[in-house]
Parts: sequence; structure tokens; C-alpha cells
Amino acid sequence: MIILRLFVAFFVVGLVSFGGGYATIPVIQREIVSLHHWLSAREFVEVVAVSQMTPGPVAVNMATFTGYRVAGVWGGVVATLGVVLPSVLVSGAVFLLVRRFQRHRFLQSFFSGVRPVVLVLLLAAAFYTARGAELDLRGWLLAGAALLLSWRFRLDPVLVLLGAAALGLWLY
Amino acid sequence: MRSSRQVGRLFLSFLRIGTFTLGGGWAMLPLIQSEVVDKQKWLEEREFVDLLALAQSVPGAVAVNTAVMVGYRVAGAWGLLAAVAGAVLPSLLVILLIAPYLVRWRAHPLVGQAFAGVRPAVVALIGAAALRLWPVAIPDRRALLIMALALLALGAGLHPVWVLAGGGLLGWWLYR
Repeated sequence: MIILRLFVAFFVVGLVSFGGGYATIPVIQREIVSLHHWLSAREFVEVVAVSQMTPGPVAVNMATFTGYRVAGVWGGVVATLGVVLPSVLVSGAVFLLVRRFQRHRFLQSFFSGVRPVVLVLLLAAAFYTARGAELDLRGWLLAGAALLLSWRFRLDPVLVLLGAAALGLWLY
Repeated sequence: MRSSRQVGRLFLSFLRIGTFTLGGGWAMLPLIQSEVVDKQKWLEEREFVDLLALAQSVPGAVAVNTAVMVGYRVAGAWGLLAAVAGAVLPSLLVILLIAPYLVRWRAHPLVGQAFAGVRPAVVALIGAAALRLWPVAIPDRRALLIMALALLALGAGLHPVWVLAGGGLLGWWLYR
């Protein structure tokens, strides 16, 4: 039953992938290319490229696209459900647990220490995205303008993205 | 009644967020921040950072984890489902409907040009989200110290989950 195997494979991917989309790519590669031979190495590169272009988290897109390639529309739906379900179960449980003890002094001081790390992780994400994008001078100017509009003027990110896409068409 | 309206608004908010998440899951966080903190005022900035911390400490895509927690926090189990469905539906539809064409389109010059503009914007949006959190995350010198140590630890290649745990333990000791 290919549908069930897709679900299980992507449930495992969702469960063992920590730390964002790009950390997930090798996990999916092992599961899909090396273990199940659902895609060839070349097809996998294609799936990664398309998943980076379509809206949404890369890991979720890769699940949808791989499932679709392997078993059609239902394959795509089932693989997506599989990769998302661990998030729902684990995040939901952790949220409930933390909310129950949120008044506890230990948790309050613990979170005071975690917040600076979250800031660093966001800065690191911006840094790695910038490095991966290989920006030229026009790119850096555009990034500077977008940063100012978003940070200082709280411009809606959707407008920033649409404006940037239009500028890209015009500049490049 | 009030809660079912919240569920509907959560779904629409996350549908909008999911539609415009370009360039990977991290790009979703500034969109969630703008929608959930600024527009709908469901969370305060500080609560948002704390949810982000939890979302990064558990398996799965950070964006989906954040949707789960924000949804539950705003409107319970139905809110959770509405937020996740809204966040995932756009990518699901886009891939199922136009996946066969995407493989060919991706080489089209117009697509490349638009993305050449979008990529720096994504960098800027994530950076701006971080700068916005600065006053909440770094209120004093102890937090600044934790931040510096976290930078070193990440630079040395330590996994984010361990850095988060280390920051928390250090916080427990420094903020007793």
C-alpha cells in the first residue's frame, strides 16, 4: 500500500527533523532516494528546486511534491499530512505542558535565558539566507530598503515582498 | 460564537501567511509576527518570542510548529487545526495544481528576476523580525551575555536545540 508507506515515511521525516527546512533536506533525501528509491537523485534535485520556489516551508513542499510524484494527488495530500502531524502532536503537547507551569519561577527565568537565543537564531537565519542568495549591490540596496520599511515603518511584509518582486523584474 | 469567529479569522490569517511565505519556512515568521502581534493583536511581542522558542525546540518545520501554538493559544483545538490548515493549504494547492508546469517554469527568466527581488526582501524581513524582538529579548546585560555566548556556540556548530537549552539553563542561573 504505497499511500500508507508515504504517510509513514513522511511522519518519520517530520518527527526526526529539528531546526528548519534546510536541515530537513538530507533527512528526506535518505528516506526518499536511498531507502525507498521513490525518486532518482536527479528528480530529487528538481523537487528541492521547486520546493524552494513555491510558498510554504521547504520540508512541507518537498513532502507534497514527492507524494504527488509517487502516487498522484492523494499521495501529495497524505505525505503532507504525514509531515505535519508530528508538529501538531508534539508542539500541541509541549504548549499545553508549558502553559500549565508558566507561572512557575523556574520557567520564567528559563525563558529569560531562551529569548536572547531566539534572537540569535533569527539573525543566523537572516545571515544564512543572505549567504545562500549571493546578493549583488542591487540586492543589498533592496535588502536595506526592505529592512527599513519593515523594521521602522512596520510596513506589511506582504507588500514588502510584492514590491520586491516587482523591483526584481524591473532591475534585473 | 465568539470563539468560532476567532477560528475563522485564524484560518484566513494563516491562509494569507501561507500564501506569501516565499523562500522557506523562516520567511513565515515575520509574516506571522505582523499578522498575529500587529494586526490581530492576539499576542504580545514577548509571548510571541516564547512561542518561537518552543517552536524551535520541538521537531518539525518551525513555521508549522508556530502555527500550531498560536492557533491553540488563540482558540483552542479548533484554532490549532484552522491555523495549520491555513498555513499548509496554499503550498498544497500550488504544488498539486501546477507542479507539472513548475519544473519547466523554473528556468523562465521572469521567474528568476522576480526571485532576485524577493530573496533580499526575505533576508530583510527575517532581520527586521529579529530587530523588533531586541527590546523584549535583550532587556539587560545578562541577556546580552547569553546572546554573545549563543553566537559563539552556534558559530562553533552546536545544534540550535542545545543552544536553546543552554540559554535556558543559563537564564535560570542568572535570573534566579
